[in-house]
Amino acid sequence: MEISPLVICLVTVCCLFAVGFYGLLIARNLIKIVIMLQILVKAAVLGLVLAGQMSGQLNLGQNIAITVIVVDTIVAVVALAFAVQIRRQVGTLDVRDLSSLRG
Amino acid sequence: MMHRVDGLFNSTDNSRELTCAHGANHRERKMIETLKLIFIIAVLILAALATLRARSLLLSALWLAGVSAMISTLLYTLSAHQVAVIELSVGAGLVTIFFIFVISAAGDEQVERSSVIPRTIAAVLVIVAVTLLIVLGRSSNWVNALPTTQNQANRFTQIRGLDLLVQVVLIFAGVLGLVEILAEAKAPLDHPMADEIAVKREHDLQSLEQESRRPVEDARRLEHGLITPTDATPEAPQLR
Repeated sequence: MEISPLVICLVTVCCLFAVGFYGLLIARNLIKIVIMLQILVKAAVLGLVLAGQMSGQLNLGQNIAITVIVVDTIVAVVALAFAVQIRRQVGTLDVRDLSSLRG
Repeated sequence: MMHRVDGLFNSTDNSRELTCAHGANHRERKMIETLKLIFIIAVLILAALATLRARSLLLSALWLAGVSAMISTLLYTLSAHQVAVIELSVGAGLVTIFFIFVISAAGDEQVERSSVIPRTIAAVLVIVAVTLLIVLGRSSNWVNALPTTQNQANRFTQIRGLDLLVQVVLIFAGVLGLVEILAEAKAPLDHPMADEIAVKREHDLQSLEQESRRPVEDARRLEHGLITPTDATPEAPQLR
């Protein structure tokens, strides 16, 4: 049985999505959550490029993928800034401790 | 649809035009390419699992850089060269530096093994999500949802002015975030800045007055015999 490269790449997207989503659900550290979000977005970028390949519009897929990469980078920077400030103010990065805070 | 795709995927149709001798050679080459692809993907998934499993945040960030590098290799193999270069420079370079900087600023906490959501429920949710992804991907014919004519694609790229504006705003937000990371922690003020300065001046004035009044008081105490001359300040005047 011959496996098409397209099927292999789609399986990769699903695997990366699964790893990222699982990590996002079980992570307790704020920085770890951002790292898992990065893996999830990388799966999306790969999926977009594959969709562009399959429809024969690779440039369109690349355009959208580049936009997603830029937005993802900004999201990571802002989220990490929040994490640093939370660490300085509260003294922990554990979401379980943070969720028990009352305003 | 496959005949429109260049790069890795066009090898299927080309094989029909080859002779038997070349066909065997072509099959061998195709198998090598597939094996290469499988190798890249195996390393990619192993790096992603190592990112998930790593207990140290620094190790996790470094494995993430490895994931980015492997994804950019995969994108290059899929003929998406521009995205591959950007992914390598931004994903494996810039973002990794941010992560290392933030981990050094916030401290490398050991990641706890226990999770907020029980692992069994998380695994079930992941299976449901991946199943939904596969079912929706197969049923809704999502490839045809993309604009098929070149005109639509051109239109999309021509109206990227708004898109670029949004990106500029986002980059500005990112710079502000970076400034926030670099900002030193400072205790919040109890009062407005003007009040703080006024209170500080008042305090300085009072301490100055106390200093100037002290020799006179010492002289008075000395006269009444409350203190000995050795205890009095040297500047104490002799009262009559």
